[in-house]
Amino acid sequence: MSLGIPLSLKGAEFRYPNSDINIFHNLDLEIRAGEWIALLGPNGSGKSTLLKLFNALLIPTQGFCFVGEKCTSDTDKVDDIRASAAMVFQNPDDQIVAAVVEEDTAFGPENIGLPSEVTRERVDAALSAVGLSGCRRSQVSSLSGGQKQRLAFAGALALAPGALLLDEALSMLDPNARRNFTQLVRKEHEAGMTIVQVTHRLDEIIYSDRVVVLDAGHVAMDMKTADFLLKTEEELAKLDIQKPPVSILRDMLCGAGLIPDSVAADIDAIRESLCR
Amino acid sequence: MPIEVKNLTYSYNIGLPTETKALDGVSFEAVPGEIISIVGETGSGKSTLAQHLNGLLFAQDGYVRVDGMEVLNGDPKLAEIRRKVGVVFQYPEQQLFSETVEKEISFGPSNWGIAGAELKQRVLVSMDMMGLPRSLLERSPFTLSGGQKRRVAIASVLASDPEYIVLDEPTAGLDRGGLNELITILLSQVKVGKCVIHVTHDLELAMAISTKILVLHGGRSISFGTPSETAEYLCGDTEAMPLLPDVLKLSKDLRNTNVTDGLAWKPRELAAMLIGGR
Repeated sequence: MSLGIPLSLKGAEFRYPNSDINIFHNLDLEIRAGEWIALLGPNGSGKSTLLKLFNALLIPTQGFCFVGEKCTSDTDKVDDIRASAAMVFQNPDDQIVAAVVEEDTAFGPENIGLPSEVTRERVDAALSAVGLSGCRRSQVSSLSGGQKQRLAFAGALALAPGALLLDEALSMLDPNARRNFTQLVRKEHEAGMTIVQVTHRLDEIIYSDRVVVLDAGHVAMDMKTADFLLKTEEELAKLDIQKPPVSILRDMLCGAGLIPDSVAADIDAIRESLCR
Repeated sequence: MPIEVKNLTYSYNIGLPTETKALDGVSFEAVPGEIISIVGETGSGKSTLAQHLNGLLFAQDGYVRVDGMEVLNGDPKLAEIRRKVGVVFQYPEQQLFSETVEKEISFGPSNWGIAGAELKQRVLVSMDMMGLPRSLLERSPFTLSGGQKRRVAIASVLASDPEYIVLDEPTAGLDRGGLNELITILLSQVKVGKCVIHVTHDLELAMAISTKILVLHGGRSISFGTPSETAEYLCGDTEAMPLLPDVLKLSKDLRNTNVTDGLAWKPRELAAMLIGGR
């Protein structure tokens, strides 16, 4: 297990080729090693572009992007950077490359030239972490959508990255699969990994440390998750963010004095408080 | 006239070691003026079912009929069926292929013989409905953000003016504004007599907007009814437990322990029930 790494943007500007629109202008952002950042904001605000900068899929047109100590503009270090900050996309089919589960998981480690013994250990550990050890010889085509997303996650873990970049990686999963996947991410975070998670759903961010809201390419808000989750439905609506139903319920029950303010926006906590 | 699905059965990779039964005797009916949601866990067969509705896949057993026409491979009526049933795929980037947003949205209606001023009008109206600014007309759809691509994919289906609109996970990746706009559009389509079939794993959303909900589990239909009937069914069926949204799950537990005597899936309704019962 590798330790988390810091990520940062310093005066970063980015413009897609053949476009005269700056997605970012003079953007500064510091993410500490081992921090879990929830990256929110409306469609087109630059969330996915920002993740791609940290994965060196895109390079700032001005300014700098650092992954650990490495600057992504240093083209010699691109492979290292991509192994250090691994990405999981919304659609697992975008990153699954092999026909068999264990071959796909081995693709990343093999690609960065790890010895076969190390690759095998990494594949075993990654498939075990995501609960796919039992189908390591299965055809990828026989997996369900949720299993494919776990496979994509295993492929990222097999790189032993210091940071995980999740681009709406849970949005196609059903509630149960989403809860399970969140627990996988939580485990990696507890082990020290840096997490940057793009999402539109507040129920996915409850374990994160900090919320960064992007709007039209600039940081519109940057605060601790615990404080962010206390915002009212109206305050969140102004940021184009939907408050989770269970948080709405919690606020109403607290307001009516049925449960104390100390109860978290979590159904188990609310149930326990109501039944006490 | 409805879409009728009767005992629909479909397996992938027939005869291979990887053979998988994706649909097993699924039946339901969708009539104009309804929003039907198809819900189920990942891998329950939702997308496979959606692909049968306009002949992207064909029944191996049972049948799908659209306005009385059976969906059959090679049947001359297939073109008419595909005109009646528009599908928005799960991943919008799989649906986009044109050089510009305008050409993308024009493709469907121009295939059905619409041209000139009417074609342009349809493109602009569909873009307005999806909140796409006209400055995007000449942009390549591939340069758009994920949420914008989804809007273009939906606009391109609306421009063909189909009678049945099938959307596979249309809300994933949309921000709050996009989600609310899409729901408003779907409801307005239903008001003018269209039928919307909406595939989702978000039971909370399905219960908020649907006339009826079809619940799939392991390729079988385990429930088909109104949101209230679905809530009652799901709360009594352990197979469907993983699908329960948080508020409904809490409501079920509170009813089971006699804290409340009804079921609610909306936070305000459950809060009212609890505050009223104090």
